[in-house]
Amino acid sequence: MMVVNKTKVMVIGGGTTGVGIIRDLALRGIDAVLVEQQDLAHGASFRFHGLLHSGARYAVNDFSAAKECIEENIILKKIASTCINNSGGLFVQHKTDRDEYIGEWLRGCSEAGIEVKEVSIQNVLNENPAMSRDLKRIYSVPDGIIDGARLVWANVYQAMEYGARVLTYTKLSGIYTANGKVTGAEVINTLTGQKSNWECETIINAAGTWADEVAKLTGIELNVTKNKGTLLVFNQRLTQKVVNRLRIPDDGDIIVPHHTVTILGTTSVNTDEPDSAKPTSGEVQILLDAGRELFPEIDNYRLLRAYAGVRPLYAGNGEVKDDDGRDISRDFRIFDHAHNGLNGFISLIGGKLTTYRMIAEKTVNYVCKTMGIKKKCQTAEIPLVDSKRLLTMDGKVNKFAVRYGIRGEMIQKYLQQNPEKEITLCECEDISFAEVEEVASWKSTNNLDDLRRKTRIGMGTCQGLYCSFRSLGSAWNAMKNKPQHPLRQLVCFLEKRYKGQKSVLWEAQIKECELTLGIYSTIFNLERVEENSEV
Amino acid sequence: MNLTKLQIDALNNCVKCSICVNSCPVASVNPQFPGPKQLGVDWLRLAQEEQSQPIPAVDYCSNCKTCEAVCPSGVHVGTLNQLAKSNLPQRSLGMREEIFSDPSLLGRFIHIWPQAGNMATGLRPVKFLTEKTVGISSQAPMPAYSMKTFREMLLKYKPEFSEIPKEVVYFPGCFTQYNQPEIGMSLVKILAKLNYKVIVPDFKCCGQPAISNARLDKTKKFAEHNLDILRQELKDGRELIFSCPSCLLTFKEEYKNILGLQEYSAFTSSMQDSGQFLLNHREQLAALLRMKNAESAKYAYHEPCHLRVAGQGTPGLVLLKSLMGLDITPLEAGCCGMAGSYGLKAEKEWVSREIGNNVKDAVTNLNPQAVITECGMCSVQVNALTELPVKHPLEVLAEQIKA
Repeated sequence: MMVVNKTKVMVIGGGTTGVGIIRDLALRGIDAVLVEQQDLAHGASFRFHGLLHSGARYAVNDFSAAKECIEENIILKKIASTCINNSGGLFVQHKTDRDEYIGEWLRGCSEAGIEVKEVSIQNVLNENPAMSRDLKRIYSVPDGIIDGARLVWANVYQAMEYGARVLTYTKLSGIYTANGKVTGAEVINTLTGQKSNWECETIINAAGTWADEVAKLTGIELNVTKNKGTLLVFNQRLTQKVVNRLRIPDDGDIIVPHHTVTILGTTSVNTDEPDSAKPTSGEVQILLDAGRELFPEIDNYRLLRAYAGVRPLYAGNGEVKDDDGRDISRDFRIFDHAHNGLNGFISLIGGKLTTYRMIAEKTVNYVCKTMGIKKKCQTAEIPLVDSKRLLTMDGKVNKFAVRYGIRGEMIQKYLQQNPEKEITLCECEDISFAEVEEVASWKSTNNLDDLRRKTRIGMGTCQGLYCSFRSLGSAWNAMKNKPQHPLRQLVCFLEKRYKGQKSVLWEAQIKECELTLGIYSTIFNLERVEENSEV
Repeated sequence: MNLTKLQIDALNNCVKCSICVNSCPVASVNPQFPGPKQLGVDWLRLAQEEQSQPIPAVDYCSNCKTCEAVCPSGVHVGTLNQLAKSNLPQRSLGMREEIFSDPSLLGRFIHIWPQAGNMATGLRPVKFLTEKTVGISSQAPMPAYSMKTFREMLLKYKPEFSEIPKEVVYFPGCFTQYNQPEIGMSLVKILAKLNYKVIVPDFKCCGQPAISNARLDKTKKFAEHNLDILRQELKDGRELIFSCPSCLLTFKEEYKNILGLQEYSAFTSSMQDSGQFLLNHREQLAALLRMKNAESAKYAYHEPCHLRVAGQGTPGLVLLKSLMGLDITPLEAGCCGMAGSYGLKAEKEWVSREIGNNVKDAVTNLNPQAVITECGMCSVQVNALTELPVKHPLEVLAEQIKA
C-alpha cells in the first residue's frame, strides 16, 4: 500500500504561472503542493528573452495586454526587485519603419498608462556606440530585464517558507476522480521511478506547453497552440537598455542585455514537438538580419548559443464556449472543466511572464470561489525577499539575496564557516566555490543542470568548459548522493551546453567547443563514461 | 559601454583556455593573484553588467606581458590588466607612483650629484626610511646612476666618417640616459663604423613606467610629445631604433593599444630593435670584428619579456652567437620578476624575488662568466640575484669591433 499524502490544491507545472499560483496559495494559507516533471523553469519560463514588458510592445495590437503589462511591471519592480534589472527600455524607429505607426503607438501607450518619453538620438548613440546611425526617433519606456530562473526559485523559496510543498522531477501519472469530482492524483518521480499518491480537492493544470497532455489524463481535450521562438545569445552586452524596434511586432526586434550577455529575439513558428524544439540555422539568419539593422556590426560580436522556447498560446477556439472560463485577457484563459463534467480541475492556457502574478491571482481567486475559501491575495504587497534579508547591516543590497532570494543567507552562513570558499569557481559569471557547494547541497538540486539554473554556472563564455568539472569536484560529496551518478550528470550537462552552440558554431565559439571536446574526451575520457558499469 | 576595438576583440576571441594564467609569473608565486584572464578579460565582461570596480589584485600585475606572448587567440590580456589597473582608486598620496612613473625625474635629480645619490640609495637608514614613508623596498636592488648621462657623452663623441654618413634615429630610453650610457655609446660607435650618423632627438620617457604605475595621463603626454618628434624625424626612409625592449614595445604596441593613438601605426614598420638593425648589416659588421677570442668564456642569455612580446625574436643573441661565435646559451627561465619598478615596491619585492629564483637557478646550473640581456632593469635584477656581471649585447659587440 502506497503512502497517501494529503493536500488541498495540487498545482501542475513549475513555470512562472505554476510557481506564481503556489506562492499565492501559500500566502493565503491554503495547503498546496506543486508538481513539476523536470526542474523548475525548464520550459518557456527560462527559455525566453528575459524582457520585463512595459506593455509598449502591445500598445497597438493588444491593448488589454499592454495595460496588464504596465500594471504588473510596476508591481513586480516592487516585489521582485532581486530578479529585475530596472534598466529601462528604448523603442527605436529605423529609417525603414513606417511613421504612421508611431502616432497609433503613442496613443496606445498613453491610454494604457505607459510612460513614454522621446529621447535624443545623439545621447543614445553616445551611450550605445554600437547602435545604427539610421535611426529616426527613439523613445524611452519603463521596460526591465527579468531573470526567469531567479524569479521562479524566489517564488518557490517563499512559498515553501509559508508551508507549500514543491516536488520537482515528479510527473503527474494519473488523476483520481469520484462522482465527477477530482479526489487525488498519482505522481511518479522521474529520477527514481518511485510512485506516490496524493489526496486533493483541486488540481490546477498550469503545465504551459504540456497542458494538453495533463488534461488528456482525464480524457479532456485542450487546444494549446505551441509556438516556437528562437533567440540568440551574444557573449557580451551590446547595450545597457532593452532595445525594441518601433514597428508592428516582428521577428528579431527585441534586444535584451541579460546579465553579462545580450539576447536577440525572437522568431515565431508553430510546432507540434514542444520537447524537441530547437533553433534552425535559418532562424539564426533571420535574427541576425533583423539585428543587423539596429546594430550594424552585429556580426562582429561573438555568438555563444541559440535556443528555442515554446510559447503555449490560447487560440480562441470555437469548441470552447464563452462561459467555459473567464476572459481575463485576450491572451490568457482559465478553463473550469466542470463544464466537461469534472469538478475540481482547472486548466490555464496562455499568459506571459510579465503578468504571471496577476494570472496567479485571478486563478487563485477563482479557485477560492469554487472551493468556498475567503482569503485575500497578498502577492502584490509582500516582497519575494523582505528588506531585512535583502539589505546588509550597512544598508547595501546583499549580493546573495539578489542571487538566491531568501536562501541567500544560507550561502552567507556557509561562507562564514568556510571563508576560504570565497574564491571564484566560475570566472565567466563570477560565482564562488561557496555558492556552488551550498546550492549543490540543497535537496532541490538534483544534478549539474539544476545547479546551473540556480547559480548560472555554464552560462558564460566558456559554456561549461571549466565550471562543470570544477563544480563537480568541489561539490562531489553532495553530488554523489544525487539520483544520477555525477558522471552521468556531467555528460547530460555538457550535451545540453553543446546543443545550444550547434547552430552558431563559427569563429571563436567553434574553438571553444573544440577545446571543451579535447579536455573532456581526451583528458577525462568522458566518451567512454557509458562503458563504466558504475554509471 | 564605449569599448575599444581591442576590448571587443578580447571579449570575442578569448576562449578561456587559461594558458595565460598557467604562464603568468606572478600567479605562479602569489596565490592571492587570480591571474590575467580573470582580472582582465573576465572582469571587463562582468563590468559591462555591474559597472564594478576592478579587482584590487590587478595591482599585482607586473605588466611583463607574458600572457600576451602565450595567448593562442591574440588577446591583449596584459593590456586589459593595465587598463583595469588604471581604473583602480589611486593611492591617497601616490608619491612612489609619481616618482616611478617618470624615471627621468629621479634621473635628473640624482644627476646633480650622482655619487651622493648612489651612496644615499645604498645607505641602510635611507633605505629604511624610504620603505616606511613611500613604500620603496629596502631589500630591492637599486639601479646605480652614471656619473655622466648618455647625452653628455654623446655631445663629446665626434666620429669621423669617410663618406657622407647615412642617418638613423635612436631612442636611448631613461636607463641608457641616466644609468648605463655605455649601452647607447656602444651602439653609436658600432654604427659609426657602419657609416651611420645617430640622431638622438629630444624624446621624453617612452611612458612604459607610467603605464605600470597606472599613470596613463603621463604616458599620453609623453606619447604625444614623442609622436611630434616622429612626424619630424622619420622621413626620407629614416628608421627608429631602440636598445631597450620595453621602450620599443611601448612605441610599437602600447601607444596604440593602451592609449588608442592609431597614428603610431604609420610608424611601426620603421621601428626596430637595434640588434635587428645591426643584423640587417651582418656582412659589413662581420668584417669589422676582431679575431675570435682564444679563451672560451661562457655566457648566459636572458630574454627580456618585453622583447619577446615585441615580436622581434632575439637579434642580440643571434649577433653574439652566430656572428661573433660566442659560447652563449639562452636561459629560457622566463621572467626575471623585476618588471621595471615593480620589484622595487615594498609589497611586491617578495613576488619579484620569488619569480626571479627561476632565473637564478638557471644561471647557477649553467655557471656562466656573465649574463647578457637587453633590458636595463632585468640586468639590475639578474645581477642582484646572481652577483654576476650583466651586459647588454651591444656592449659585448662593441668590445669586439676593430679600432
